[in-house]
Amino acid sequence: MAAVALRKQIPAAKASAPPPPAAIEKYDTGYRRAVAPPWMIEVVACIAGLLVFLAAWAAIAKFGGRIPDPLTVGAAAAKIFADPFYSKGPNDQGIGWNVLSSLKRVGIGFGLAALVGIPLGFMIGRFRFLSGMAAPIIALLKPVSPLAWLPIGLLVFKAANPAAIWVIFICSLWPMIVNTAVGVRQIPQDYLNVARVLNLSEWKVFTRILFPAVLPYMITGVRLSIGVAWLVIVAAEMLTGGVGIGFWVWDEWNNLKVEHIMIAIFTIGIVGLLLEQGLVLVARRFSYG
Amino acid sequence: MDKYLSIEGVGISFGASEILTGIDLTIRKGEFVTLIGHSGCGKSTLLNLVAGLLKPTLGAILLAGKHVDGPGPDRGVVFQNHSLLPWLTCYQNVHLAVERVFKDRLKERTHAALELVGLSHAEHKYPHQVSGGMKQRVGIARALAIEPKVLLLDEPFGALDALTRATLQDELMRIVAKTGATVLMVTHDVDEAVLLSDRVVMMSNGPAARIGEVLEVPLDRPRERLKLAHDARFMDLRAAVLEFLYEKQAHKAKLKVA
Repeated sequence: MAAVALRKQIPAAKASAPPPPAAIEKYDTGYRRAVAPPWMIEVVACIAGLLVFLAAWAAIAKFGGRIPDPLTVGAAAAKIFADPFYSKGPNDQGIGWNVLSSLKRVGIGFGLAALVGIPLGFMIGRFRFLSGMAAPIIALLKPVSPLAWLPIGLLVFKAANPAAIWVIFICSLWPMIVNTAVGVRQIPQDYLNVARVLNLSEWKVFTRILFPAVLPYMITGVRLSIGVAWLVIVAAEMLTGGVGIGFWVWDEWNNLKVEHIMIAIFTIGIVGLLLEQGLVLVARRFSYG
Repeated sequence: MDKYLSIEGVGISFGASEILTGIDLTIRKGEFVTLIGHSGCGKSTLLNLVAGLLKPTLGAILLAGKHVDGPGPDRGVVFQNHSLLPWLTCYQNVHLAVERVFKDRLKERTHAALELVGLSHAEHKYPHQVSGGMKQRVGIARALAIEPKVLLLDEPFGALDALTRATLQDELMRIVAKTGATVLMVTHDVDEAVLLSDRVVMMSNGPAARIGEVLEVPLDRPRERLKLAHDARFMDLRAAVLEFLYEKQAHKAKLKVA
């Protein structure tokens, strides 16, 4: 019964299905429900967000006072970035030099932290006893603000620059140790079994299994560290002085050039974003599907 | 060489729980033996004991007259989940094993092993770029490339679909016939056990599992899947394994579930 009924319906359905092309043209209003591609929506959203931000900023500047409006800051930025690499003595240098010297400190402190933290992380991940030894120390010191270490740095190194590098070293160290150790601990037993049944040498186990298996975790550690380091360097330089973006912020505050402080905020943000994105690219290269 | 691989009075306990007890089994050179039993009966544990990944609490294992004391490249192991290193190509995965064992003709040996499993065309692909069946072929190539005294297979085709599994079973029979390898294989697939083996070792249920029965499979080689499907002897052998698993060991298995 049902089959018969179905069969009857088919010709009817067919007849109503695709109207001939002429019919479409006849009733075509020219209106199409356009569906934008996802990237376009993202770009539009991004621009819209920035516009809202600028509008809010302009409104606050106009009615709240004291803060320079976007146009003033833009004009000041154009002047500053026209000559970013001038140098008139240690206390008056272009923004380019300030950013570069901050990056240099981050690079050195961070590099030293990698040199110490990654091998330490490997050992802590590999040997349970070491892990037990390190756990209370790391748990105790990790929540301490890196800036609390600045006086120790000043005391030991008796100079501002190495003290700032020391602070970066300390704050980069913990994420590097912890992530490397976690990476070593999560290595699938299967891979270690392969090493065991083949009786691979310790060197081969390290270069062919441990290191590549831990690499993605290490890169995560590096990413977290460099993010924290870039946050901390600004504060450290405010305290130590010299040349550097953090010092520059403080200097411009003393000169009451608020528009320059705004420029510094955006510069710090953009440099941080670039550091992060660069490492995301590196991480993608070393992730195994 | 009647006692090429011999497992003598082996038992293993993890803490207070006894997994295997009183296992005696000898395997001739060139023989293909499968271990079959319900899950949790300790058949993989027995394989890991032979691989040297675990140490027996009691008894000893001898391979070609040598005491097995830890893992070593005289045994080639194929794991259930292929266990290829994802950052190495298929070629590099096999090469890693080859360079551990041999000093000369490394490239040639690696190529030969991959050719044996029919993967010459995919040598330079990474594991994630090839299918599950191909990964397992690389696993077999890696195990065979080191020319082990015995090939240990831990449910090698368990994760594959039925058609791929059948193809790989045929491939394995061809490879074993060609190389004369001695094989100990764990499976829970009755057809696979009967099709591939010279002897099927049926394990009783754990804890404290033992060898329940050993079934000789006197079918001629080379064996053809389609012909055997209608072969009365094949059917009888298959029925014998099924009876062991679902009648003699069924009761205990049910108890374990409850």
